[in-house]
Amino acid sequence: MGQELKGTGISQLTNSELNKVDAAALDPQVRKFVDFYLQTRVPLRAYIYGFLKNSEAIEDCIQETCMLVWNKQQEGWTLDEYQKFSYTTARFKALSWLKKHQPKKHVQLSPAMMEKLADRTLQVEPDHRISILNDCLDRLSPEQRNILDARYEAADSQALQLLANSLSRKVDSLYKQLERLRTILRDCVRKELPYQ
Amino acid sequence: MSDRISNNVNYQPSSELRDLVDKMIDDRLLADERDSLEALLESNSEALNYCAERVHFHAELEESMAPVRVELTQKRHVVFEKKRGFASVSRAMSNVVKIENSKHGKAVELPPKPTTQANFLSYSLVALGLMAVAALIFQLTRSPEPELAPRLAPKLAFNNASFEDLDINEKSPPYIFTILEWQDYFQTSKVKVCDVERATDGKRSAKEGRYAVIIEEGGFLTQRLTYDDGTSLKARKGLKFRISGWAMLESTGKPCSLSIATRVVASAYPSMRQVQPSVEKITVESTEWQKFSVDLSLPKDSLVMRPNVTGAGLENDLMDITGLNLAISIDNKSSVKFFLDAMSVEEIK
Repeated sequence: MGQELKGTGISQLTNSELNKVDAAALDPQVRKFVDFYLQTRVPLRAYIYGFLKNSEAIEDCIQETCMLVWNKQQEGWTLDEYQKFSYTTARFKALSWLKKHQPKKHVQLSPAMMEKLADRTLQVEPDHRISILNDCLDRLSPEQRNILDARYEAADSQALQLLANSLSRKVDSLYKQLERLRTILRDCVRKELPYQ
Repeated sequence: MSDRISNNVNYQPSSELRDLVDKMIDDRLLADERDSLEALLESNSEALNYCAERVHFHAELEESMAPVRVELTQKRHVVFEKKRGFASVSRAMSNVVKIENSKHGKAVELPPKPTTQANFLSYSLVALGLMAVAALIFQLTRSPEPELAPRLAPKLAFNNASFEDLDINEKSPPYIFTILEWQDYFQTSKVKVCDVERATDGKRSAKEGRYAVIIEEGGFLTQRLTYDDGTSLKARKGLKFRISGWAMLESTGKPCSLSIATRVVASAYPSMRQVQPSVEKITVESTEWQKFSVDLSLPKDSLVMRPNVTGAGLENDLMDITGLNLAISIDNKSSVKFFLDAMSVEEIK
């Protein structure tokens, strides 16, 4: 089974486990759509990250993209076709969000660089490393894990600041530690990948 | 995508680049830092690759740590309607997909796409009569076709073979008179689906599942025969098939005689025209479930036959039933009620 969702006793289905769900119970078109959606989430999120940094806005963008793709999908689409349509849709959704919300301009890359970065994320070799990443996460100390949880799991965007307050540390030092943790995890995944 | 970015372990980003990229990821860039990062990314392709790879890894981390919830709900819709005294039942199935936003928990529901428009059953004699007449006109006007070759696959199968397709409300009487798939062409109030255990105070149970049908004197079931891919079984010379099932008397006493027949309903409205190429009888003698099996066949030489039922105003002329839809009819010809369950049909050579 997949990784347990924290404290729920419910296991998160991986794509391969989704394939084991009773095929007869699902309409093939729905099944294919959900399969493609799950396979596309990571590259789509990375792509949108070229434009947006706000986590909620990114999730909204993924949802809206999914909705539009669902409505426009063509029977017989391949994963590649599904993804191309998703990226094009997501780009417009992200640009529209930026236009509407106009976040602080000084923190954003230039529009040309945003496009360049978003396109470059699509060229990152997918190596299906989520399960390895989960193993690497399990090797972290509770203190390290708390920092990652505050950044990635907490609903409160101020969670890292609150953690810094509770630890009597500066938030900048936690961000620095977060940067190191990402590098540690990235190195861990690289070492564990079978073809490295 | 061409020129995929592989994990370039030889590239060592400067501490400045690492710092700026992570600040960008965490949305903490200041104006001068943004300019520095942009200059680095612009001047060095490897730096841009590193940034893209780091952003991708961040997305993986986020995906791994925040729960992804996709909820799939399969909805079954059964709609009962009655108009001008004729009842109709329509069924449809749809899949609803909900995609949850892991940040604020709100889910969006993707509009359902009907996936199975399962057997719109209209019991309106008007509609069916018109369809049957249209089918007859088509058959009479079309050019003769060569005899159909025997089919090995797909297989013949009854729909709603164990009468479990509709639920009986626990708070209602243990009977319903709508019998999905078994009231093709005609319906009668002398057959009902029955929750056997509730109806018999736990003394009896269905052979399969919870429900069976109970057929009173003069009651009948009819179903157009179809293959499991939904195509209809057409009458052809020498066709043979076996009908099996389980029957049980409602009460001890006299045995019951039921007949199982093949039928071709050429028209139902305004005047009935029906051919019955073959019929077999079965005797049910027990108040325990009793297995039965009968073989039915169509003549090898000719399918030109005289209708056994001809409505007013129609000539009782011979008709060729070749290629017409074949139905099965189960009739209670006696005065004794019986249960029926777990029906099956198979083509035999």
